Amino acid sequence: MVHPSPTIIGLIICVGLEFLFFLIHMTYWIKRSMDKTHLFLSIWFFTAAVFSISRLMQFFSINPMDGVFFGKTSALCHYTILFFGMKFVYTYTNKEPRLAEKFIFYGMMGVSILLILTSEIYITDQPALRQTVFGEKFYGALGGKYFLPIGLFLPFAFVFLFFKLLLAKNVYDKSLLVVIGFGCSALFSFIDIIIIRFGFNIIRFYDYAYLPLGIGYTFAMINHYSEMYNQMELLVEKRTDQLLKANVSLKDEIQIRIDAEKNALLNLEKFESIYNGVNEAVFVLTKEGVIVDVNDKMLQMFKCPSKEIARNLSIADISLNVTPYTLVEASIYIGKAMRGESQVFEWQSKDLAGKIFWSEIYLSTAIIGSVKYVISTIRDITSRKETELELANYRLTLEEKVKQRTYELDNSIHEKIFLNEELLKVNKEIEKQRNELLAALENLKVAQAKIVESEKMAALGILVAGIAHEINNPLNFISGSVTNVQTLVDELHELVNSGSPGKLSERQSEFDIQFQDLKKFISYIELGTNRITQIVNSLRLFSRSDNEEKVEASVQELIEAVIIMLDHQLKNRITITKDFGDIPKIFCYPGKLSQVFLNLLSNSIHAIDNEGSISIFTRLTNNNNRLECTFKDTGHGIPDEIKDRIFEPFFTTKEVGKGTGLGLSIVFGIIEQHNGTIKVVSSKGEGTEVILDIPII
Amino acid sequence: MKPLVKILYIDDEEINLELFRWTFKNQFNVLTAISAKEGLAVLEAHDVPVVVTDLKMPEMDGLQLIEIIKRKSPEKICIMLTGFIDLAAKAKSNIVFNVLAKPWKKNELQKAIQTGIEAYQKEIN
Repeated sequence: MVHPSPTIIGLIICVGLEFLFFLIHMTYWIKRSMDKTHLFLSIWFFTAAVFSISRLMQFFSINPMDGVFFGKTSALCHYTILFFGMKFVYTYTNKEPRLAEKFIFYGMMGVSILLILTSEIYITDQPALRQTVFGEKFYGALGGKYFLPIGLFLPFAFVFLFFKLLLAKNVYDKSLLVVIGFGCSALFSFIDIIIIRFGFNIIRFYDYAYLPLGIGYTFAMINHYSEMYNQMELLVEKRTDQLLKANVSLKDEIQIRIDAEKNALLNLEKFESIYNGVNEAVFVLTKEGVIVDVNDKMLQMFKCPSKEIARNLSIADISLNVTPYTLVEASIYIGKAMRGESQVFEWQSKDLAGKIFWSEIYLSTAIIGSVKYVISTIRDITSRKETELELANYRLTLEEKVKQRTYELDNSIHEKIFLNEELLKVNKEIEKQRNELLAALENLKVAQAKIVESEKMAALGILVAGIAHEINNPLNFISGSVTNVQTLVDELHELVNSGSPGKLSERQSEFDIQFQDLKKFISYIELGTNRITQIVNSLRLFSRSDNEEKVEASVQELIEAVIIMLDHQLKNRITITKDFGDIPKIFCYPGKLSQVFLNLLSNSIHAIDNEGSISIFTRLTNNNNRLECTFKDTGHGIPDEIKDRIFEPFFTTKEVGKGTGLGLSIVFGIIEQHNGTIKVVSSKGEGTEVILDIPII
Repeated sequence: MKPLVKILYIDDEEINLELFRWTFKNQFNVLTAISAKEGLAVLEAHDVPVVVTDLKMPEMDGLQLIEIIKRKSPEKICIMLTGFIDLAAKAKSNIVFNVLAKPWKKNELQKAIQTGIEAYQKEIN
């Protein structure tokens, strides 16, 4: 048989391409995606290839099959292609066929296949046979007359699928070739039916019917894959981006991890130092009592050379190992501890040198790396035990002694009666002594009063010395003046008696001089009297030291008076600075307060060895409610070691007989009477500052 | 008429100096000084056989002054006046010719000075 070579060449190309695509889709299906569209398309192309081969075989007259069989096979091929084409379209457009569609497709296909299998269909190119095919035979056997509508279903189905694809969303623009392919298939099979039915012997379109379709599919798939590829790329980019971000966060995390690790290391160091630093041996035990770890103290306590050796020890090795200090009892304790009851008990331990010692063991549990361990801390209580033993011994001896004593006492009960009488006697004696002591106390009180009195006398002594000297000069004014006045009066008397009145007036100038002198001496007498009055007034302040009542007095005046009395003691060497400020009179015992000032100032004077100064300040404090008097000297100061004792009665640094040691204690007492406080700031060689704080009312 | 003997009186009270000068204006040629220091200056300028001084004075007291005078001129007669018959003055009696109480009496003082002058003249001769 001779055919135009373009058909054969076309068919060969068809077969090649169809196999190629079959392989491509199959490979994709298996290796890449397991995407059903690939499976369907690979079946499609395989069937198409089979169909094309069978057509080709016909051209080369190597058709082993008769026309009927061939016809049936090719028809089946058509329907297979249709079926999988349908599957492809629905899968590709990602849609389920509607019930009606399913019904029509599967129904029609089922019927068609049944008809094809049962009817005699010839597909032939020979015009002689064509008659038969479309003649009797066409309608032969079963359903031959239904062939036309059934045969027409194929192109209509393709047309339907074509439109389905065409109208499906997002399919047209992206898979134009698929649509065109389906369109071609539809058109070709449609045309083919027409050709067959009406016997136009033109070119056999249907030979190529599935190639464009297949190519269309393939391009669609390429498109699809390029799309997928793009999407993949996008995905990859996205992923890369995510990975980059992840990388950054991973880096952060790594830093955090590194930090955490450092911390952990630090914590570990801390833990290690604590773990090994405690004064108790620590064991980490499994629930079976196997030693897992120990601390440094354990090595020391048990004379164990290394932790390695310690880990290989059994509890029996480090215990007395005589009941009740064996592994058995230890296991009971460990068991209890494992159940969450922490245990404290005493234990006879044994170090590796074989020495037995008492220990106190505390068991608790800890979870380390999700495994529960028993932590055993052991304290050496040998010394405590020894003490306990000693105490026990003591107790025994004491009990013995008590028994003995009781016995002795029982024996001596009659002696007691005698003793009682003795005691009564002693009691009387004591009573007598007590009375004597009371009397002595009374005497002491009297003596104390005397001493206090003598302190007052000492103050008076200072006073008298001061006054005596102060009074001397004014007294001298008076006495000297009086002597001279007497002389003058005698002279005047002589003058008046010796001469005549005339002569008297001649000697007027002589009289004048003498009267001037007289006036002068009288003014000296007045001056002396005034000074003495002033001094005596200041003395008066002291005259009422005892039993005086609180009155208003000027602290400034009191201090000034005291300074006058002490003047002779300071004249040569001590300068006094005073700053009284503006202070009101205060309600006080002026005599007592004067004694305070006198004592403080004489102390200051005594403290200044050669030359120096004393500063006196007064000022109001505490909202003008209190008066603060400060006496500050440049004397030798008070040594630290006696500072606490200066207010003690009879405490003195002066030689015996030079001071009573009552000065400051009297000061303290008087200031207390005034509800005031006294503060002394001093150190050896730095001078002394005494600050009095007295309420104004 | 025999010239009056020069004597020096030292006291820190001007009135006392005045009274002394007036009291003995007819008996002695009285020089006065208001302080020990001034007294020493007067002694530099004048030949004074007898010095009368108060004990208590600021800066330098009478006893210190007498010590200085006696160190320089042991022949001079020094008489001291004091409110107390001072123990310290008595202890130093080998350099103090006489100690008299203050306030002084004219007669006693004049007598003491007179004795002093005589003692001085005896010493000189």
